[in-house]
Amino acid sequence: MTETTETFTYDYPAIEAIVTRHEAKGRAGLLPCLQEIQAFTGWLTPDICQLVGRRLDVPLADIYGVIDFYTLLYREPVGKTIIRVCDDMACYLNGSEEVLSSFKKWLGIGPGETTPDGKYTLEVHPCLGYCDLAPMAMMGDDVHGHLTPDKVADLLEVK
Amino acid sequence: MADMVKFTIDGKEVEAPAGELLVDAAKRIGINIPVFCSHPKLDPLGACRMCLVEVEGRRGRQLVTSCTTPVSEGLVVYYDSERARAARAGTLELLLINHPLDCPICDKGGECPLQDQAMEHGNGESHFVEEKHHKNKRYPISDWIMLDQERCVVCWRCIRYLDEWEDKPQLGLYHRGGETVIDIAPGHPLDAKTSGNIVEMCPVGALTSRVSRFSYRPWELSHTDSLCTHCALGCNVRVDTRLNQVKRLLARENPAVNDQWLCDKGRFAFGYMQHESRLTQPLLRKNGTLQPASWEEALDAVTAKLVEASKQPQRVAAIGSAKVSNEANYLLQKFFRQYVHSNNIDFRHGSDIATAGRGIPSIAEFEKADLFVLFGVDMAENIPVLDLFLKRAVNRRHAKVLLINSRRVEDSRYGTLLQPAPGEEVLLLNGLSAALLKDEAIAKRAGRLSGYKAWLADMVSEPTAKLNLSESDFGGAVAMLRRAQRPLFLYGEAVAGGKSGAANVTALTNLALLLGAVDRVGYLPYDANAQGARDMGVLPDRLPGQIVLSDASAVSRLQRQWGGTVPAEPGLTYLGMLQAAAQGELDFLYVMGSDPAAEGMSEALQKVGFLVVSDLFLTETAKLADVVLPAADYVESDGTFTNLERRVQRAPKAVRAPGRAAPDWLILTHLAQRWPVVEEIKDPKRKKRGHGRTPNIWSYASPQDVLQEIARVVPMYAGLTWDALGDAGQQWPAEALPLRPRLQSVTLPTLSRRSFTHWLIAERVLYDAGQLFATTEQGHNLIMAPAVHINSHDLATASLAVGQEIQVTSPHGSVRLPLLVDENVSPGTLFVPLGLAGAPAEQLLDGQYGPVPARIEAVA
Repeated sequence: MTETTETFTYDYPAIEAIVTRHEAKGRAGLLPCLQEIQAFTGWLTPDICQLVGRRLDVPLADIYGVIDFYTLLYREPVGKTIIRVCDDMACYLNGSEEVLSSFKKWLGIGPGETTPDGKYTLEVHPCLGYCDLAPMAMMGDDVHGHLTPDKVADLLEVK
Repeated sequence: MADMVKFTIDGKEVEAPAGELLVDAAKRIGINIPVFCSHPKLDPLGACRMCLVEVEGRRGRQLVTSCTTPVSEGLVVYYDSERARAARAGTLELLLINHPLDCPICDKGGECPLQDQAMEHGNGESHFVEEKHHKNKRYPISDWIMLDQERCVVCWRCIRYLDEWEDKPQLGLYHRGGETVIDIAPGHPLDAKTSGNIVEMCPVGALTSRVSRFSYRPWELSHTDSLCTHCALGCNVRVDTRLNQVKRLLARENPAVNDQWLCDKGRFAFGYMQHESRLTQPLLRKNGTLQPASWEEALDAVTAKLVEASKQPQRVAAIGSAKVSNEANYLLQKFFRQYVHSNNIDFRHGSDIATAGRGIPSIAEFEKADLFVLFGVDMAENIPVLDLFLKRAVNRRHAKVLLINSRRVEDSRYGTLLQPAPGEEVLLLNGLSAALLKDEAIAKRAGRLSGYKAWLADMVSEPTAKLNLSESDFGGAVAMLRRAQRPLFLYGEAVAGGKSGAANVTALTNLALLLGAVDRVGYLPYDANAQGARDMGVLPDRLPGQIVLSDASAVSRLQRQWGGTVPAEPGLTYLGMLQAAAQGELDFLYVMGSDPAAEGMSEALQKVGFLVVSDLFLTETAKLADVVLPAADYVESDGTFTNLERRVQRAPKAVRAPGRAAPDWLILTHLAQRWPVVEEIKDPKRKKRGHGRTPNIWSYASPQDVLQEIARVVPMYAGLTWDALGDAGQQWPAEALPLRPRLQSVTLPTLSRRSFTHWLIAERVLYDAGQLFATTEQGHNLIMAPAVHINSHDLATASLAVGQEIQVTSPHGSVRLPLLVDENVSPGTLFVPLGLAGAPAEQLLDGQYGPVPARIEAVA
């Protein structure tokens, strides 16, 4: 687990600054605080959860509850870039299955898994709100529409 | 009185206080609206939707949750309407979609609200044919509790209990929607000391006790309303048994004592009751070894030796027990006073503790006090259920807490902690008194005490500098005390024993006197019947009713009851007896339910001429005995116990004692009947011999007979009968034992560390290695490993390393222990819990109470 952590910028003063900014809000500051920290670290390590819990006065069990509730918060190491392939109605009808298998082929991993080099995590998501671009996927914060297996290869720069 | 409102349920008119929840109002008129999440002791939530009813509103009839709807004037409620019934049936159907069908092996089966409500309110069949969700089953969330996430209906009772009462929110909701589960934070099992209450509150079989899982079916159990005897609170329990086996203990509601809670030790640690190591037959020392004997042989041997020894009654002694019933303790002291003519009677933490003998004012006081002064008390550790009420007072009523303790304890999180070094407590308390006297109103109340004031002012100048306290903490404490309208002062055995015990208690009493709160000073004992043993006169200088030996009229009254004469000279205290034993000055010692050898006193006990022990187990003391008598536990005999608020409660027999073990009252009765005087009395010639009037013969047929005599002899127990005690017990009024409080100058105790570097603090912990706890297998992980706790500052100074084995030396002994860093221990002190395996603390104390000097050094 620790190896994967090291691939991220784990900047303690930066985390400290984020927590300090949200501290006064208490529980109300929990979500933005976790989100901002995760933007730095990629995932929420046990010591981050403890730190946030202590400073924002939120029980540890509740913090893990919140993380588990929201799909976009992670309590286990994930890749540097998260690939979210939409498989809802519009994308499915336009060939999301092929897009997904192309991702699987090039990355050599299945949905929910992370590449051994820690670069990518592949996820299958319900509607991401870009039905006009179906089939689509997100890589990190970037939206890529009208995907085909070829375009997937381009995106991953594997050709 | 709250305003009353009128409303209707199904056309029936109901009157209820405004704001009462609909579900409660309905219950009072006999309509039991089904609930899962709603609980009388928890805040309303409305999570399970089981209690839906229809209410007439502006937009027509609407479905609302009756557990969150307060009643109001003119409210029109339909409980039994078609739509409300369908809604409840629908909720049940949804709850059951993923509920596993393992009722036949579920511990809750047979007493399960989900089963009952499915029968009463459900449709009987489901629309759902899909595969059920699978989640964690058999998932331990602590050493005591098993979680089955599949059975959970997500009512949040457990989460809310831990949050609202225990103030340790260690359980949370994870994931979403139909996949929601209850879970602990990874790697953080529950460690709340009253966590077992969530097992009882769980409306399904999701939380089960690992101690009694799969060992009974609820409908096969017999129930006995009894008590817990692990601590002095005397929580009411229901003992559930089957075929002479104790299967589980449940909390029994008693609003005056434990509300409806139990701590984990009380609930789960009953393994000792039927443990295979219980004594089942008398043992007699023959040729140097303890060998099985008949009761006849054993009792004859005891009587023969005791008759012989009683020629010099000052060389005979008896140790009673704060763990056994009033009846046994009463008979013990009666036997030794009436027949043996010895006042050498005491129990551990008996007369060696400085206390007014009235326990605490009342448990109900926890609902009123606005300031709790905890002096040498670790309530969270030792009396967890009472601690719940403290937490409630702090969290709900914003009561303040002031702690005076050399060690930081769990309750320190609720208030200001002043940490005097051992021996400096009196200085601190006097400093607080002196500061308060600067307030005119308080000085006025103190009145004509110029002498005291002058003495105080003289003695305490600049207490903060002397005590190394921060001005702000001290000032804050003074302000707290001055502002308090209804303070409650509690002190524990940690400060009431030892050399400085009396001074500590006097200084605290002075402080309370200045605040006009002397009747709200209480001693918090830790043993179940510590109060009762006092009341029964198991003290070297007090007769039953805590009457002093010099009270001539009381003595003659007692002699009329008993016949014979009561010895007039005060006897040896518990520690005095052990010292006398060490000097070889005891020819005979009777030990009932106590284990002084485990406190490092075995050498002293070996010098006792004849040692008799009655106990549940072959204790360290029993191993040294000449005769060992197998005693029955409290669940194996009727008996009464008096708790820390002087409430006399009854504990009836629930199971038979193992083998030939017998209750202490019966053992003592048999001994008394063998006493030679009995022959004399039966002899028609009745020649008088020895000690004046002839004592009466004992003729108790039951513990109830003994209680009847106690009610005649002990003034504050006057009129008590077994039946009158009922299920809730009876409290004797504190005024029955009047105090004559006045401000007294206190001499500072002279405690010196001499050449030693540290003070050793040894206090009790809940989960110790004693037989009463360690015999319950599931609790083994919770027992603290023996170690010496030390502050990191001291660790650095001593240049020692964590985990290193070190030598701890006190004037009384020396042991090797691993080192443990514990920031709760203040610099200059070492902490070793009492009652751990190998009894390290006891060896260092050698029978002493309170802090002793000590030093640590690396093992060469």
